[in-house]
Amino acid sequence: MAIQTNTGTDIKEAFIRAFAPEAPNGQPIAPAVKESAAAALQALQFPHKKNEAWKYTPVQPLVSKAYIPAEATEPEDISPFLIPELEADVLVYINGKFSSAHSQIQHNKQLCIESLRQLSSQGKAVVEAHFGKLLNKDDIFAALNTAYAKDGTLVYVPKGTVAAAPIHIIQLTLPGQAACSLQHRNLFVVEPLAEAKVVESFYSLSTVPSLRNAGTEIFVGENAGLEYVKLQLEQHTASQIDHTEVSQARHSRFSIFTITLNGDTVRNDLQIHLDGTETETHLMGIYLLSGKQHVDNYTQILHKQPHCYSNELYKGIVADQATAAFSGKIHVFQQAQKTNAFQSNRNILLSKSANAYTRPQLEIYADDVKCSHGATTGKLEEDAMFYLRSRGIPEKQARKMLIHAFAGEVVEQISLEAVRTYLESLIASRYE
Amino acid sequence: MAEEKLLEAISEDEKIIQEVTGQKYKYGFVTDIESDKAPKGLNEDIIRMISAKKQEPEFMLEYRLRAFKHWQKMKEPNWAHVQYPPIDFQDIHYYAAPKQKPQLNSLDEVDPELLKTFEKLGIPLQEQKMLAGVAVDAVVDSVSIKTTYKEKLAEKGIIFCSFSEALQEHPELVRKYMGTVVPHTDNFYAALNAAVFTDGSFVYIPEGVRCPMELSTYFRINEQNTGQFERTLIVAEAGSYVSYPEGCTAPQRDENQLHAAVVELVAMDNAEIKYSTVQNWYPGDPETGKGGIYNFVTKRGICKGRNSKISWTQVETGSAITWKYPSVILKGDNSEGEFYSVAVTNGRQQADTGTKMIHIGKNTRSVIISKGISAGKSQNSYRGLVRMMKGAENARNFSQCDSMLIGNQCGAHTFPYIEVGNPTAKVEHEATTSKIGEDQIFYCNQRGIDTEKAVGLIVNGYCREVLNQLPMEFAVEAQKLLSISLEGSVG
Repeated sequence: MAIQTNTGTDIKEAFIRAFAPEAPNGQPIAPAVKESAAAALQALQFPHKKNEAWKYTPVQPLVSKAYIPAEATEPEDISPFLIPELEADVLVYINGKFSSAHSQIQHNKQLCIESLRQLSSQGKAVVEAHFGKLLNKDDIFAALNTAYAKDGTLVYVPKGTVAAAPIHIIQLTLPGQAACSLQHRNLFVVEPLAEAKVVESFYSLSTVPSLRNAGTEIFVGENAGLEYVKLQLEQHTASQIDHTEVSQARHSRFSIFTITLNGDTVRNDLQIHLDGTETETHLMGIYLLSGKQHVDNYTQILHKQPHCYSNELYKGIVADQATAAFSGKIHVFQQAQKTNAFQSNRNILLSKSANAYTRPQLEIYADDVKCSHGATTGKLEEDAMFYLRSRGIPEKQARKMLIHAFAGEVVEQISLEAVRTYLESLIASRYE
Repeated sequence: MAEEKLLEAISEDEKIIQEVTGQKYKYGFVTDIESDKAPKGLNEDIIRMISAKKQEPEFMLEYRLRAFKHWQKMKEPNWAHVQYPPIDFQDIHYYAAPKQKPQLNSLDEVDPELLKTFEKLGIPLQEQKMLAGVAVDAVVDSVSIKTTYKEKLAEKGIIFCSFSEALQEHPELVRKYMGTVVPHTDNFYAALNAAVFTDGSFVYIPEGVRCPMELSTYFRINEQNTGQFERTLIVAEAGSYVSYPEGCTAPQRDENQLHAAVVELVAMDNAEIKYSTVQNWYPGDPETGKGGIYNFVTKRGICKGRNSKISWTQVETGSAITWKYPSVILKGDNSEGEFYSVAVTNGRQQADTGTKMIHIGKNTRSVIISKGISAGKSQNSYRGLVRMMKGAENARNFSQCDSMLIGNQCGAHTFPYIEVGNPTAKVEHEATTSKIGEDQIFYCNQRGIDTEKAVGLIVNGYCREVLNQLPMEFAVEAQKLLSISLEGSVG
């Protein structure tokens, strides 16, 4: 099926229409924020190659497709998308719309886990207090999401509560007739002394192109902890632009895992504000690419307060004609003394046509800090390969082992064993 | 025994530091020489005038005009991590020459004012020239005054002269190589330079010749309100070697001065070019940042032949703004590129400097060692690119960018770009940022070395990897410069 493309000056208008069939007003959540975002959208433009932030990802082909909003349909069985042996509260979204029939929330009675479309009065109050407070207002995609995203997840962990079970959000894209647009919005609020774990996984069964514009805001309160695992496992037709923005209060802990095993063009914008002192942050990522995939991880960590610790590790394998881009910025503000910030990006290229772009950046305005970054790009370790081969392990098997070990450094830091096992099996079958 | 040596080493360092602490910008003076100046502003007529004054061949004028046309279409770059008030390019004298004199035969004929300038700078032009064994092409403002050791070099077939002289005597060489590494369309300042450059140096090393001495040029900006647009071209033919140290100082003054130089290096098969810079232009008032030099330089070399090598070493301590990325295009198979840099910023200085290593050929190697030191209220950025093209089989790069912060008002930034398109290429980059070691200072204090001297010592040690790459006499000067630049940054 031929996918139509838009041209000329109406690209932006057509694009916005595809993601915003309804007016922002009359919506149940934070109407004022949404309206102001919609107004701001008018003045914003799509980034082009000259924008430093989008240097390695061409936006034009992505936004010029003629998308139509994805229809909401119901699949019969969602069990293939569950993570084996993960006892979790499951929320299922089909083409961006919450499916109460498939969702099951039974473990975490004390938490407030809801679809943004069906908010309780408590949920409403949380949303009013936090929605749109964090997400970048100058980015066209983020603004579009803020203005028009209709559904998504609210996870609210009240003060002093430790979630009884992890929360698993499944985002499923089903086949449509034409290139479809999807949008969802997450809001995670973890109150002081509370703790939770969230897994969000993306699947698509569609063979026509789709573009998901995702937005997530996360507030981690004082002494609170949150672990967030994002599994991007979509088809090679599915593109995604994701904006995740996090605010951490004093003494909080936050870990995020961005795992991209599939998809077409995937752009992950991650921004973390360390608004309190003595925080701990882990940013982890794996991307295993093949075909013509294009994955761009754009991360920023803003050390605004003293005594914070951050550690970033992104590892990727790039095969075929795929392209991987990584940008990591550590920004240390002047008062953020005693900052410890580390960052590392490692790439392995498996083919001649693969490309890897890395921009590890440090911007430091405080003197009493320890900051470092490292980046390497090369091929699979020849010595290690030789070692394995010399012990009679066939090349294919040896390669698998090396890739397993390479990704293992990130995978093993995920605290949920079921997710770890699931991910390991996915990685093992990735380059077969 | 070892202790004695250590003490000796310390006292040596101390001597150097002592010598330089407590003095103001040493080279801040203005020599009074009558000058031949073009009116302010830039248009085709000015360019024609410059070209006519220098009696240039026709192709040069055409080239200048082409560059000027292109420049008019370009925008000033604003991506660097520096801030400065907008430059009025029509408020600059694009040509200034010291009093034109007929050909000089001996030093006696040189303007005595000029000789005094040289003396203050310590240029080994008279007796020193014998001792130092350095052939000096001294550029005062824009016209070369005196070239020494020419005969000795000529014996070997080496051409070392001012750019304008080269245009008169070797136009075919200039025409063949000029603009091949840095085309006039390259960037805003390179285009401007191509249009209005007044002079510079030209070096040509014939096949198989190893240049017997360091070829050195001292630049000096002398005329008030004069932009300085130098152009250097070094061509090393197959199997040749040349080392080219370059150093600069400038008088103290109130108005910002623009300096937009272009340096092009071409290395053929098995040739090696070593280019060292010690830059110490007036950094501006330490409190207000007023009056310093704007140093917007385009430096690039191409390893055209197999097994060729280009090495950049720089010690950047001066200038209000430094915008400089000495780069190497590694085109020939097995060619090698090196970049060793120390950038020190103090007061209100801003530096955005680094390198580009473009790997095209097979088995190409590059090394980047960058040490940034920021003190006072300065901003110091490393910005670099390592690109492995599809054909760069087994290419290798190692980069290390360390930053040191002294005081909590300054900034140190690192912006590396790594682009790899070949799976057999291996790229490694690492960077660290930390403050100057408190325990190291404490150690020195404990042994009776005060904090300011201790900082000088530690910084010199920190930069040793780079300083070691400099020619001997340069290394000494560089050590002094490092200490001067960090004066008053502690306590």
